[in-house]
Amino acid sequence: MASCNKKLYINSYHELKNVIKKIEKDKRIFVFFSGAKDTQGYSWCQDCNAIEKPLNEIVASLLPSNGIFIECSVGDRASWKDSNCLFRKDSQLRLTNIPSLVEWGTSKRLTENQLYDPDMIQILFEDD
Amino acid sequence: MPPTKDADEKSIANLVEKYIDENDVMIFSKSWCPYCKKIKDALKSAKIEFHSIELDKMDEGDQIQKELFKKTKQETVPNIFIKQQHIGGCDKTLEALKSGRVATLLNPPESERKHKKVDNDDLDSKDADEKANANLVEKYIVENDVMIFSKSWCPYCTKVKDALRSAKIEFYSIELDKMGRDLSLFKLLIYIFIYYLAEGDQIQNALINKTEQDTVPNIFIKQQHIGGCDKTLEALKSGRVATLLNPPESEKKHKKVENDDLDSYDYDLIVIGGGSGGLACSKEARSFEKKVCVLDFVKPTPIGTTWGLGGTCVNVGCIPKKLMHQASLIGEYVHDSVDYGWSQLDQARQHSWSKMIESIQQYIRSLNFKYRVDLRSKGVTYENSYGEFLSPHRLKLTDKKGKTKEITGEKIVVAVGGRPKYPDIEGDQQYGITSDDLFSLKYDPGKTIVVGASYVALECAGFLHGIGREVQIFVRSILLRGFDQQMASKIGDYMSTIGMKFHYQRIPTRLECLEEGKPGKLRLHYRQTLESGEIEESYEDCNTVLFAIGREACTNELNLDKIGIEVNKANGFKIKTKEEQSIDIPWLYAIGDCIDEQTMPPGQPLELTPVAIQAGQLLAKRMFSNSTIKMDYYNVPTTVFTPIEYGAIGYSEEDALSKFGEDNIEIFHSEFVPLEWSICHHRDQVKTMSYCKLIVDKNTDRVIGFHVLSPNAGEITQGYALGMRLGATKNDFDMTIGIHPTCAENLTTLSVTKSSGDSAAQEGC
Repeated sequence: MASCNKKLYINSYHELKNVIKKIEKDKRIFVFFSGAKDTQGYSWCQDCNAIEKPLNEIVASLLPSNGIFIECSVGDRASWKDSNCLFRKDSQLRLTNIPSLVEWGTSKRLTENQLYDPDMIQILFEDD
Repeated sequence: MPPTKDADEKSIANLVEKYIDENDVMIFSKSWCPYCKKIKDALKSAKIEFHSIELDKMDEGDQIQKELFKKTKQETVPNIFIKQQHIGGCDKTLEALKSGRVATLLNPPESERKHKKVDNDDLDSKDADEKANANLVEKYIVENDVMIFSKSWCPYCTKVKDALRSAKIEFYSIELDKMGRDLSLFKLLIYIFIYYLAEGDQIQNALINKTEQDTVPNIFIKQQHIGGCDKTLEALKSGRVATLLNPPESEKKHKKVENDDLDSYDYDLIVIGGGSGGLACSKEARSFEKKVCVLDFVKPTPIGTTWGLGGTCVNVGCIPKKLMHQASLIGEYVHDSVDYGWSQLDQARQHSWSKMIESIQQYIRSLNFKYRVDLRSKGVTYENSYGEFLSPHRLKLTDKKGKTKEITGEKIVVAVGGRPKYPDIEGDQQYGITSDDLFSLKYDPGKTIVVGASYVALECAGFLHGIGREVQIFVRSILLRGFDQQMASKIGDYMSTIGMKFHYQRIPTRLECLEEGKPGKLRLHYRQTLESGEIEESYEDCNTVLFAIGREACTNELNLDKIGIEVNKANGFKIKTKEEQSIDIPWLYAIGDCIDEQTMPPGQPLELTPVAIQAGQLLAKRMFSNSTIKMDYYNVPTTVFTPIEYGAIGYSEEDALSKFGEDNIEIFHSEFVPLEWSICHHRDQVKTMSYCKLIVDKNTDRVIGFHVLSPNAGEITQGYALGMRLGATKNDFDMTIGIHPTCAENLTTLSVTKSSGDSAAQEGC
């Protein structure tokens, strides 16, 4: 099950690309995009704050054994809202809203309210 | 003095016990916990009341959680008790819901209940009483077509009686609150002996024993238990009441055998098959808030190919086919590019099979995911299981791992589609492939023999050739049986002219593998009837053999015989339907490729995605609302995506001639040159092969057949389909101004008729 997987925390687009490059090819990579957190651990994105605990609970119990879970901050509000934000411009990613959970390398993604539903997350995690 | 730790623990323990005792269904929960939400939603759906407390919002929350762990060895939430029995967490409770255990705990069955009532009373006289009441109830039910056990003050009883009166349906009702020895109904005189013993309460008890329903109104129609007010109103709406009171011929026969209906069902609707038709029907049903389940399971091909949710169209049909057709068109545009001034594109041109497959499969997988998410967000239950009938309304589901379970549905729609046929010759399944395998083939197919002359065969042969593979086509007799034959032979001419080899009257007899590999080397033995009439036996070597000789409905392994439906090879194992309802079983429906539908135009079956989708949606509306809109199978536009595309609406020339007669129709036609091809040298031999014709009913001037052979025929035909639907005449076509320069405009300027004998070659620019 999920217990042996490290959770990775990433804070920038370049860091994300670098980390992903180093991950073994047989792993499935799931990236959770949310707004940056302050020193208290709260994000400027309210929806991201609300989803965090439930999502972590679900991921902990459903993440497949060959899955890597990455939490990636898209930056502060201004950086995210900027149309030049690297996460928005990346040709494969084309991120449009947060919070989002994406399987890297595919077009599969879930956002906002879908993330509260363990059955939806199960669909994302299912092997083809 | 502050309470001691022991006293604390004891009071917490008491508190927990109190919660468990006082609530039939007790959930210890946390407000942010998604599994707690999940089980609460499931209970709400099942209309089961529960009480929950949110431990994260309580001061003693932690202590309660500890106490629960002590009591149940479970440390997580949700922690659930039903009638004081510890069930477990979300998964265990869902399981208990599904298996019926929750229902049993909340409503223990008769035997338990009888047991409860009988205290110190004399068993003998109680038995006799109960028997008498049961007999009385039976008498009422049998003697009245519509029987309502009612109470005079009950508003639901009034509601359903009003509804029946409005529908002009006669009924008989007795008011249980007014029954007793002072009742003076006419029937009393007849049943006075039994009546002397009967009181309203006892009748109500007899009803509970019979139907497990303890409320009024309790309604029977033609001796079938319907239920209370809501269920009866539902039955009125759905037409079930009318059907029960006036069963059509086949049902009358059926009734003599056995009463099919169950008292309750797991689902209002079960759809077998998650393809174009099945998904559309199930989602539409949800808009009426019905409980819907979709079953989808792909039995792997002989070489092991399988795919995800979405059916044939998405996975091994229209979608990958059109993308591969596009791949081959791009190859042709590269040849065109020279004359348009591009240099070197042609020399650099090469095609990677694996790259094309990768792009297409990635897209298909994203569609599979999208459909899964879509079903979930619309509240359709999805089971990745193979469904088979066990008995009326009841299916056995078998999942990938072989685990089974049973579910029941009040209405069931069969939307299982079809699969390609094999020719039944030695080596066919072992070494040959079909379209099911082609679209995800992990190796380049190389030199390919396509066996068959269906549109699947010609489309596949077309794009394989277009991406540069050598293609031969073995045709048993004619091309595109069921389609307009003049158009079919023009397609054949085009394809041969661009380099595909057709071999007519050639039937494969054995497929041998010379060398294994990806691809390997195969030898296809065949029997050929020569022009002289002689029969020659020979073989052809190749890398891949693709069988495209037709498709059969996947109905054989559904155990349809268990519900009284026969299917046979003569019509491809299709289920006979009228307006998508089985002609044998009223609660059984079918849509899509697997049906033999009475209201379809005879001849060519309409095995098309948009047909299945619309039929499914209209069917759901008819099943669950008072819609009466039927599917119109006439003037359905179609397109064959061969290298030169062929679009058609309405009658073929052969069908028009046979239905209307030569004297009553006029055919207008024209060849034309697509402007884009006119400057391309590589198109020299084929540029005049584009062609279109309109078949007109002389008496009304209505256009009854539309045919166009041209690049982009699919896009052209769609627009004209609207005109055909609105009954366009030849004059309408003529008065419509064309768009210049396009291929589509040619349909607006047709003046040469076949009967005149004049040349159909294009004039002007």
